Amino acid sequence: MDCDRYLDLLSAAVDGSLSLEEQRALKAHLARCPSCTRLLEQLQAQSQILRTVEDAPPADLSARILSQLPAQKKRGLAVSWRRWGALAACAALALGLGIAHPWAHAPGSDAPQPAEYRTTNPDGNQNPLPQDRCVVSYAQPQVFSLSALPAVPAAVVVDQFSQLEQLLAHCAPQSVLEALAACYPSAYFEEGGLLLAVTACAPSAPALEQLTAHSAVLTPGSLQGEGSAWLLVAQVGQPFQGGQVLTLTAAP
Amino acid sequence: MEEHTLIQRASQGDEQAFAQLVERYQNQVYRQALRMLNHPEDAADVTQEVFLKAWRNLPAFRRDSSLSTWLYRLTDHAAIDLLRRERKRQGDASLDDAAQELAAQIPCPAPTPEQAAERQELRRAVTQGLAQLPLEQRRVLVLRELQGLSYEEMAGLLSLPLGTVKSRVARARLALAKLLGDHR
Repeated sequence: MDCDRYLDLLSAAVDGSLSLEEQRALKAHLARCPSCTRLLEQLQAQSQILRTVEDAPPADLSARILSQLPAQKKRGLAVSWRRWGALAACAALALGLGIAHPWAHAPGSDAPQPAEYRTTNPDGNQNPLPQDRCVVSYAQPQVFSLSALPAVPAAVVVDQFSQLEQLLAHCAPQSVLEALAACYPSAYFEEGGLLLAVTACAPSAPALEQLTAHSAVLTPGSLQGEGSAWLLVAQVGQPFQGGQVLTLTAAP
Repeated sequence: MEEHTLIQRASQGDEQAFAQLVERYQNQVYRQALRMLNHPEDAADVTQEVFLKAWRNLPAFRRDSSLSTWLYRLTDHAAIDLLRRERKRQGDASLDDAAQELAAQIPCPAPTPEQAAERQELRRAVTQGLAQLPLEQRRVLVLRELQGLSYEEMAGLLSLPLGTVKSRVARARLALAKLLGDHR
């Protein structure tokens, strides 16, 4: 009997996640297969045991943990949230990257549809990225007011703080750099953290309208207008890689 | 105190608040590390490392994911890193090979239903079997069974498609059953 193809169903049965149809199929198989019936019992028993394993840590562990904490200065960022218009523009980009949650209820945002996005590889080929799991779900943007537009593409992925610093050297006040350094220490990047830095001018009202209506293609310079440049940082995960340049376009 | 208040305060440098978070989560973090590493001292070190990283990175932690999932991710990565460093130190012999050799040497406890009445014994057998599984199988079982992550959360943590995670868990469950038992 071809029992191997029932393994996924047996495992789903352990999870209690079988559909009605799957339940019927498995039940029919088990009725004539004592081996799988026995296996299912064993899988259920061992899962039950694993779920209730208790391992008490050493009694002094929490004291050890707390005694090693480095003293740290009070942290916090002076984040400018004044211009919801600009945030909404960033939101349009970020939603396209799958970081939907932080903006779901952002004032001034009309919850735009995800924009299409592509990576531009060094060889010039454009490859669409997978739509899911690109961006760490708890990412949240921080928007800073800058004095000039950094000379970078619409979005670039950085995997070291020094790269971000380099991008911003000519346009960010020292206070912004310090705040960013406090928020994203090197340990952050050791954890596989990657930052997506998006730059855009605070858009004029018509440009913003265009953007949220998804008829605008956002490239550096296309939103030049009044206002300052903006930096948005959000944490992204695999499969982004440091140095990857992202070109963002609104969905057709 | 509500967890989000503790996180907020700890991320601003409040050690008392952080201590409460440590109290809440250290058992689960330690358990995950212990079952990945099968070594109490290493597990304690990894737990320490995880909370130090959490302390440093709390400002970057976003509250729309759960703190527990974030800590399990840090623990998983720290344990994998430690195992990789160990592997390097021991030369080219793969850990999984070593574990499989070990599995071949140690007679399987293979508890019959009668022996299973000895619940303690069975529990020991299951955790021993878990320790003998290849690393990737052990990893998914620890996340799924011990830490209770959903398949969606695991897919995110492991950067794998959902279907791959489900089938990896199914294979890991079968491998553990084979180590423990008598079927097929």
